[in-house]
Amino acid sequence: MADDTQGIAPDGIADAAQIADAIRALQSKDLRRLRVSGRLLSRPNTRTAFGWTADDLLQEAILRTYEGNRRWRPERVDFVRHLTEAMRSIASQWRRQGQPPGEHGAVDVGALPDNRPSPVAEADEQEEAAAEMARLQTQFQDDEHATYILWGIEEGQDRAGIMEKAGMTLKHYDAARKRLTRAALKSKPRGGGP
Amino acid sequence: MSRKRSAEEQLEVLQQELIEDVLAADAATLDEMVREGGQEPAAVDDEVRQLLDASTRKFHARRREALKKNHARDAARLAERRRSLPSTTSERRALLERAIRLSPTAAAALTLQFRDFRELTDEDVSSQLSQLAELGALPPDDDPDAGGDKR
Repeated sequence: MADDTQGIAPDGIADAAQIADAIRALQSKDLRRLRVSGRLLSRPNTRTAFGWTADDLLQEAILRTYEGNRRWRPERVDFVRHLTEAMRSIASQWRRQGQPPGEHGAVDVGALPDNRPSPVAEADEQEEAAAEMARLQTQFQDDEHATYILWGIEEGQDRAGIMEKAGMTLKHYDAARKRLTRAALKSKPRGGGP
Repeated sequence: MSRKRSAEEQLEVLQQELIEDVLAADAATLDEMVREGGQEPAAVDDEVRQLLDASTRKFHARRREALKKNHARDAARLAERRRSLPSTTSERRALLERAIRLSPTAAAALTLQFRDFRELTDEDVSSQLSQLAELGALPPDDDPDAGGDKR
């Protein structure tokens, strides 16, 4: 059978052979980064919506990259960051559409026929997100810097704005962000699968 | 001036910030993060590697399936076009003559090979019609010019 991985990549977009090479070249630290990022973006099943795992996200990110639906330009961004961005975008899409992961044509419990989220699904998403943010604010109420980060995000500020308003150094910001990361990871289901 | 974010937007911005933390983490911190998930780093390496390999195989399987479907569709379309050619020699010759007159593509293709239409054998006519059918260069059956053209 002919090799179907070769092809000319227009505009610096990686072809299947380059993507396969990049996968083979991933080191342990890259694999761990992908798993941890996926866990941060995973979501458990809830009473109103399907969830997804770190593995669901990574598989979808790889398939979309191979199929060209999510283009990777090696000269602009490294492979791990590309996959992480792809996972983030997929999680956001699934959340907004109320769409569970799975094979193409999976049953969509929360979307209208044109794949827009139904008002009910949208309200549920807002409710879930509000509960998660409130939970974090409560958990970090005694952590001044982490609280400033959460407030700043709520107020629409970027990182520089948050640091300026709170009088935080970059070191303080990074340390508080690390504590938030650990807390978020602890709140997720264990492992990468269901 | 910043705008207050919805809860959903807040969650997405926070996730982005936390992922930046993961991308910037050194090896030791990453291992701690993995253990926060109740897993051993070496086991995660194997699991993620297997997932990536399985995803690659899945992509190639999907691609082979798509190529197979395309091939089958093309073959069916071609067979259908060939089947729809007239059954008698005279009708086929008339159809070719009409195609040459109406289609610049057909005329150009045939002029290169045959200077005189009358030189064409019946076999040549059938072969040329098949090729034009593949190019989609045959006139439609309901062409108003279709009548009175047969030899």
